Amino acid sequence: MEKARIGGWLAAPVFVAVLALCIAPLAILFAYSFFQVDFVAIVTDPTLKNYARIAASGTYRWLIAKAFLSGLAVTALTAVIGYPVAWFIAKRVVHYKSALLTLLLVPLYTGDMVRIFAWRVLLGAEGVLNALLMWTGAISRPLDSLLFSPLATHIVLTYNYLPFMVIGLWLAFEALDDRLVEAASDLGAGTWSAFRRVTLPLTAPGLIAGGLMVFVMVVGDYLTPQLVGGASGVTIISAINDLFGTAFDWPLGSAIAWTMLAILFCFFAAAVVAISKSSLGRAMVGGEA
Amino acid sequence: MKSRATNIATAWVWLVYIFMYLPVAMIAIFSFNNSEIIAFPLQGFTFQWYNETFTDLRLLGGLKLTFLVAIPTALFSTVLGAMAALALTRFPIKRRMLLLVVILLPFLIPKLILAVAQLILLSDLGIDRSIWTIIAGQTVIILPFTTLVNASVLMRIDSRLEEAAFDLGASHFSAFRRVTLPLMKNGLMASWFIAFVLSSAEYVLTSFLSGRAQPLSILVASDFRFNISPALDAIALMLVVANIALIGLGEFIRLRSQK
Amino acid sequence: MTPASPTKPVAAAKPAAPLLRGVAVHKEYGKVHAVRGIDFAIEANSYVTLLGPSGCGKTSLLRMIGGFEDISSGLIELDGRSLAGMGAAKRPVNTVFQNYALFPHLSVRENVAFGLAYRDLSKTAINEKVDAALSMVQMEAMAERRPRQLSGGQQQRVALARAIINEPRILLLDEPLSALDRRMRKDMQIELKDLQRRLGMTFLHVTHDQEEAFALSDRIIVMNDGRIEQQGAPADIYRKPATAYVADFIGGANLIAGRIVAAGDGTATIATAAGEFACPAVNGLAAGDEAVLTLRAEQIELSASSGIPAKVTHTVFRGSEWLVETRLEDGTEISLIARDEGPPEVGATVGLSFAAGRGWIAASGNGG
Repeated sequence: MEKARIGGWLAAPVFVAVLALCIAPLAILFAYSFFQVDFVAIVTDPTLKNYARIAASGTYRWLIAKAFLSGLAVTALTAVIGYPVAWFIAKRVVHYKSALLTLLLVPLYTGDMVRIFAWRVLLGAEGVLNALLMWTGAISRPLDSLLFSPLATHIVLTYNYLPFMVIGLWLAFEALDDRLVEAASDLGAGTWSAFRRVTLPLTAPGLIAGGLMVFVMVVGDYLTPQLVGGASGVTIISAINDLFGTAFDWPLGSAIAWTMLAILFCFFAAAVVAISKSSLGRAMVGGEA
Repeated sequence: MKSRATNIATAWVWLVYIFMYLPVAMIAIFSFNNSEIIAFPLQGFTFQWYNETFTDLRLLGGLKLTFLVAIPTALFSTVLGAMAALALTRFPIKRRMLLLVVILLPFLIPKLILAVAQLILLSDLGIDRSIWTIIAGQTVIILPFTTLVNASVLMRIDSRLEEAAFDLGASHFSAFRRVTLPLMKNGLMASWFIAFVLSSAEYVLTSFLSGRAQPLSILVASDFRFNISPALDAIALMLVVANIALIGLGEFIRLRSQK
Repeated sequence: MTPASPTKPVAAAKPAAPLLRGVAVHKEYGKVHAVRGIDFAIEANSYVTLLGPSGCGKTSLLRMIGGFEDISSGLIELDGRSLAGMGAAKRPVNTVFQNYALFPHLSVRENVAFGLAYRDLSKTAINEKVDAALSMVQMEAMAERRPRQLSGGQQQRVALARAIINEPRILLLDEPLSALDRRMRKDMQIELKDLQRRLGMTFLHVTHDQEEAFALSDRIIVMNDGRIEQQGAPADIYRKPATAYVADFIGGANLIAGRIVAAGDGTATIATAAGEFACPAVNGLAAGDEAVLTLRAEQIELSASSGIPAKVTHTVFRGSEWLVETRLEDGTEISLIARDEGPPEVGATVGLSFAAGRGWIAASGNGG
């Protein structure tokens, strides 16, 4: 088959690029996770000690758990905030659909650093949010704790990744046939019941896909907790960074990194199974391939 | 009842968009504020920061390097992404699912972990960090985005158009050049643009791979602990305004062509 | 075709109130008037089709009855009670959607049982009802499948079962057969009609296919451009079209435009370019009105010399007969049927005639 041969030639450079720039580095990282540090040299006798250290350390266990809890919390927040937005863009906008979607992405173009700094100004003691709260009389003195807190981290994380959730959900809403919702109400379903029995199950693949994107990015986010989290900004990712930098323990850093990756792959596999198990997901994959 | 749901959703969408543009508004305000310190209260109006973006040698150097990195990165990742998208949507390749997972893989890996891994590989291979290591590293993390943009365009192109070209005697290459490629053009441009923006804003990977060559995003970070320069706000705002202008232009052309 | 009977007992007025009644029903979307203030009445236990071309307003009307669209002005009553302000969920009306709108994430059984969740029924009662509905449409064996695993005809049956299980006062069917191939369509027509009789339910069926309408209906409502052109029994609509539009849309009658010179009780005389003819006519015509003489192809006789002169432009062999297309001197095109005698040659001049009392004079209307 000539077509298959051309397909192979098209795919080959992509495979090579990802192999060289992503899979090979991660494989070496994996190898390092079984090494050990002796003063300033790396001993290459394979050992499981690094993984044992992670399992024994309450700090690392807590940091790993915190990363995934943050991921789940921000995923849930973006889902709740983004669901009506995606519905609105898909079902209530006719002419300016692509403009609205692009406008949602434009703030991301300002760059991580500049945007995070803008949030520091917004949330700071003399910031806009404090001024607003004082003006409405909700508080009498500026809240110092607004910035450099877990709250600030989660506000900015939600802000950063909301557009990805909206796009995942929007795709699902575009694929949802309005007549199915009409059919539900024709058969006696009220607004809430039609949502629960038809709309929600049929947009679930978009929710899972968008959720997975947000989750992965929140878990892997390095800058946001560092720059607006203050004392709470220590994360498992910043711990990995320290181990490769000042602390100089590459093997332990590699082991933590691979622990994170293994857990992330589990979430990913679960999401893929969840999407492909739903008959709708199967239809979507089959229809597009 | 339906219209009430729509009204609530409209209000909600407005709130979300205001939330999304709050930091952009901050950036806009401080790019015109007559003070080096980015903090309230405001100190008066100035164009100084816009002038500075065109005169500050350090910023200009960073900006130049950003372009030197972003232009080839956008090109490579768009070409690779388009090839991957063609393979995924147009050709009966074996292990299509494997290819999809491979392409999405760089997206799933936390950037800092990937950056560290790439750094180890470079040091083990004895390769010095340079502008080319930045380009290679960025290309692979931007690849998932360019693939999805191009695949979404290809899925909307009727594959019977290519069959019609074969039917009229075109070879695979000529059918691609005369039919598929012109139809992919908008997607390719969008993909290049998105890749450019992602590349220029990328920080974590860049900081690990950059060595002595320091693009703008690294300069911003090194200023960060103290106070970033309002000139950076000016650059960010120009980027946003250029984007919105492009959307406006696109919509204008689209609406005119519909008449 | 049997000759027209002079009386029509089917359309005689019944004393009981109609099941569904529309008064001055109007629908506009922005500047577009989809339905222009129409009146209609639908009797209980009947099969009614709404027939018209796409964009004639028939689907808008159906959606207003189903509760999916608000009425711009006017009134729809079911059993003498207005449906205004009653959402689709509350109406005792169910719909078989175009392309069926089966829930892809639910099995056939779950699809059919969907509406029963809103009634106070035990699990066993629900199962019994679902089994009964599935056997009614001969889909018991497919109960655990997903809609995607079914053929078009099977999906159609599931959609029917899902709607009738709720025992609606009226079942609305929106182009239910349009997604099926020709053979399947014929089979489903018979099944639909049969189902309606067995259930004694009122079916209101939207279609653009006049053959389908004839095969199914007790009564046809012909719509065009947001208005009702004519409503009545199928035979009446075919033999006594009220307007030129109906005559043309239903079976493509020949139309000869002219002007009424005299109108009597059920007859009229029309002057056309081909001569003056006295024929049965639609009520309400007066001398001086523009009107059309409508002639079915099978009503016209062909002769070599006598009659209205016409030139043969085309002949088409149709198995048992020939379709002969001709053109009158003023350019009006007339087609007719030639049987045993064989077709005349293309280009020949022939004479056309029709028996006195055949033909029908209809109002000009706007044509379409």
